[in-house]
Amino acid sequence: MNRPSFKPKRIRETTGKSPDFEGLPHSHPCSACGTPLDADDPFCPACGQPQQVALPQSNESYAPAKHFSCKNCGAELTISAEHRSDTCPFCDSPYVVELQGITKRQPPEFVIGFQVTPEQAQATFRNWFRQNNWTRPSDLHTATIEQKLQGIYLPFWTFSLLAQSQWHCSIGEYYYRTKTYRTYEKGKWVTKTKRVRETEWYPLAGKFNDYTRGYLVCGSNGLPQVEVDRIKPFHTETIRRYDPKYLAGWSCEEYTVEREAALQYFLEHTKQDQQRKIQQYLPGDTNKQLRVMTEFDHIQSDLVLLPVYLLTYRYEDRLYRFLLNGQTGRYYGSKPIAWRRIMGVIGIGVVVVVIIGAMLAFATMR
Amino acid sequence: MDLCQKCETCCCYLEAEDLFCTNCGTEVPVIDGVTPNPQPTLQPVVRHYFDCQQCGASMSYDASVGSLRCPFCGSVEVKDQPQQLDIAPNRVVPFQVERPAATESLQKWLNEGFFRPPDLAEMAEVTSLVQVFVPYWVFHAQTKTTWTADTSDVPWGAKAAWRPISGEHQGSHQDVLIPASQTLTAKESFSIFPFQIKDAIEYRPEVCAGISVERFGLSRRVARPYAKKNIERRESQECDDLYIPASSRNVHVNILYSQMRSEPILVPLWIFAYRYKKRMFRFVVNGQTGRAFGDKPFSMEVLYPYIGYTVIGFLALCLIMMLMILFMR
Repeated sequence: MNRPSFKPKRIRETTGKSPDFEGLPHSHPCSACGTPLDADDPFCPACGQPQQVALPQSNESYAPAKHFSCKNCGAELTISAEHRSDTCPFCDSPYVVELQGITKRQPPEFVIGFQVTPEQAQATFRNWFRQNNWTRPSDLHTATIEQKLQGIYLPFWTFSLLAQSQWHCSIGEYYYRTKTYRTYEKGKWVTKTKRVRETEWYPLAGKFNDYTRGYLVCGSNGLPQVEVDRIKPFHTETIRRYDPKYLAGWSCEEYTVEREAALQYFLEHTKQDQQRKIQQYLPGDTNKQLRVMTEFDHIQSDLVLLPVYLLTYRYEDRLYRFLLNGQTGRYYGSKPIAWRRIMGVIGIGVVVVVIIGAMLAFATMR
Repeated sequence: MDLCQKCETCCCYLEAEDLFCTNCGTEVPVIDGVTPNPQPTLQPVVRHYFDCQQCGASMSYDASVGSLRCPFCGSVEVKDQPQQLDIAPNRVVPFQVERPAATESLQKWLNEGFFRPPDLAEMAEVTSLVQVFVPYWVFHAQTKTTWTADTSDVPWGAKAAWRPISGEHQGSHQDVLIPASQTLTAKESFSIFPFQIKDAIEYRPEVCAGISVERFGLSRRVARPYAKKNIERRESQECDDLYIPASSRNVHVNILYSQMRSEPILVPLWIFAYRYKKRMFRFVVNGQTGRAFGDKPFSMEVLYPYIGYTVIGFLALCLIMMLMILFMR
């Protein structure tokens, strides 16, 4: 497999939030009591007032989907029939083949619907892409790239578990004492005192229990976890049970990271999280040698589909990517920089400074 | 209550609106596409409401109440909202303080205090005390806590003033009240505590006949974090009192909640709202225990003469001093 590297040197990375989607998405107030509601709450959770349910946005009516696999990066996609895609949305390579039959994968259990329309996503992308226009290579055109922007439901693993930790460490309590010392000053030896801080150490052990949940592990091999972390958070309050109607008109990726692998990643994350939480929970002025033993219980996993707008493009054999959270409008992207142009501008600047300097020097010499 | 569905992991009571347990995150099981038997609380109830245009309070209107005056701010600008839904409360704490007792408490409060406007007591006759049922969420939970702290009880020969300790505790918290009123301030809601929730009676529409009922302005989802914070504070205090000798600092608690449940209830209040010089003031009496709280206008006019006396006194003192100094010479 010949995957292009994702650590190019010449790259501009930006994250941001489009101004149109501030706060919780679609939290319009209940007509009766003002409680914030989700777009598809049939009843107000606070007062029971029936609400007009806005159906999840769909581009077109539901059509039988096709199944594709990318030979380059290994992503597997379900693409709605109208959407004739011949390139992989993750690596922008044309090696996409249609798969026959249905894969034996676990069906998703929960889904968050798209709240950002394709038009809004496109506008956000265009705005972002045109920032600092002059640093962009001139042979890279917005119009040709823009069309590749696609709304995709990406698979994520979420876990809930009870983390039970046993910890022990040394706790330090400060005290102060006055120290006398001799020093050579103004040609003679004098005795002086100063106040120094000392630490008294005590061993301490205890337990720490915590229900942990909500961390989203990307189930897609094509998309690194670090990039996905940049467009978090997703508001899980608006999560719904999975229903095929949500996918109408949208593409959907199949998970390629297995549950076990995702769980290992999550456990590692939780262990670090526990360490950090316990660090804050310790008494005393300071501490050292913290050892934490964590056991996990009641592990439950869920497969969730989350709405993401994705745009991958190639420039000079490197991959650049734009990601937009389809729920909150938060985005992250990288774009190439034309260093030749920037160098040119800097060069002109240097030349101008030198000329002015020379003129001034000339003027003062006279 | 025991017919309700509980979370398999932490035994917390599940609610109809939840897909996941709100405490531990365990998924609520589904049988044939239907969530079985969630906590049967949030029953809607239809009442005739009115909204106050001044303070935003929303409460039920009963024809027998008579005048349409907002009990929370005394305003008469109210907007009719016929046939609205609200959460039906599980239980209601009945009124035990009658009107004479409440009025007496009000009069006493009005007359006390030194720097008060003199015409305040007269205002009391213009607008009268009103009975209102105010919504609260009641939370109950069992807790398993581990704690750490520093104690000043140090062993003989120790040099530092503090020593670290840790331990475990099991607690039970009943009747943690979280105000769901949109109008009353948090200070007002908390300063008339406590209420004896065990004396509450089952809700029937007749209980509230002739008395305004404020609408639930806070959903359970929003109230829950406040309840947890409240329990955490209590738990921290409890651990400090029970286990930590001498004085303490850095008390940290780590709480695992179980069997958490909540119910909507109504609580009785006497409210006296009035305007004084275009500002709104409110006096509230706990309708069960008679405990009262209120903000009173602070009158500078009453204060002016005293400021004057002080200044004159000070000047006089200075004069005497100067004269004395002159005489001494």
